[in-house]
Amino acid sequence: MNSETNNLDIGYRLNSVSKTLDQDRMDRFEKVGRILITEGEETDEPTNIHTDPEKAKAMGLERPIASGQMSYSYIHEMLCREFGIDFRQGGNLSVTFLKPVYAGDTVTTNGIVEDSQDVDGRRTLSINVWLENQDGNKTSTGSANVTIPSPRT
Amino acid sequence: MTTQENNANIYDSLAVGEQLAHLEYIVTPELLEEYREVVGYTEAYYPHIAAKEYIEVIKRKHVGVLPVISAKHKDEYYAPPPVGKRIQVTGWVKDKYERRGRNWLVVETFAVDEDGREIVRSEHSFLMGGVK
Repeated sequence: MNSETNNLDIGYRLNSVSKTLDQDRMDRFEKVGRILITEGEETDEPTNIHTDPEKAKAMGLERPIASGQMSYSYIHEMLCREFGIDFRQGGNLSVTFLKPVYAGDTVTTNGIVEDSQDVDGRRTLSINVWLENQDGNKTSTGSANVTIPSPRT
Repeated sequence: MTTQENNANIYDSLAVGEQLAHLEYIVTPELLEEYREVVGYTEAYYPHIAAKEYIEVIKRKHVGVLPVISAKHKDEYYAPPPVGKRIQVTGWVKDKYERRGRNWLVVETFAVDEDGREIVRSEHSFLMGGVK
């Protein structure tokens, strides 16, 4: 955790995380998920709208788009970097995917504390989160909650 | 049967509250390392984010191609999955609805480890079929 609890109040801005995507990383994200969920039975690179231009076009997309879960993982990282175990054990995150993210895009996470409640020695924060691409367009928005210290630690 | 027809058939056959397939997997040190490398974060602890359990629980019960577009994902974190322990996932249909002529589905999953320790509760909303 890299913030003092007393500084974590309404308006506090979380440290951002920036990622530049490429097709290789998008392919590997699909593959690691596939291998994990099938316990290694499906090791071939899966083809879907995230990896295959033809499948992307068949779904009405210009070209392959990054999985929404990649965007989710970046916002998740921002919160873990900020709050550590308090978020990993007891936090929650909800993200809506607004616009596609493509290979070559650079996305940056953002988070601002919008509510803070102190109860029984714990501070619960509600955080407005979003992801922006290199053009300043929001590609995802959402909210997160974390209690410090987490009752689950 | 076209993909669209298959999608429509699966959507029609799903009932709100229906229990979907059960999943089990193990987070190995190698897979966790690969996930961390792919997302570019050395302290990433929840590789299920890439696993798309919400799709797999449907696919294993209603076999077929299931092209979907993700709309929203929500997680509630209890504890990171222990490396080397079997993770067990149950899933069910939380909601389904039609909006502007398109079919939407909401799937909830819940993961525990082999000792019954809670890992994560997830909810995923997606559009069945494409954007056109």
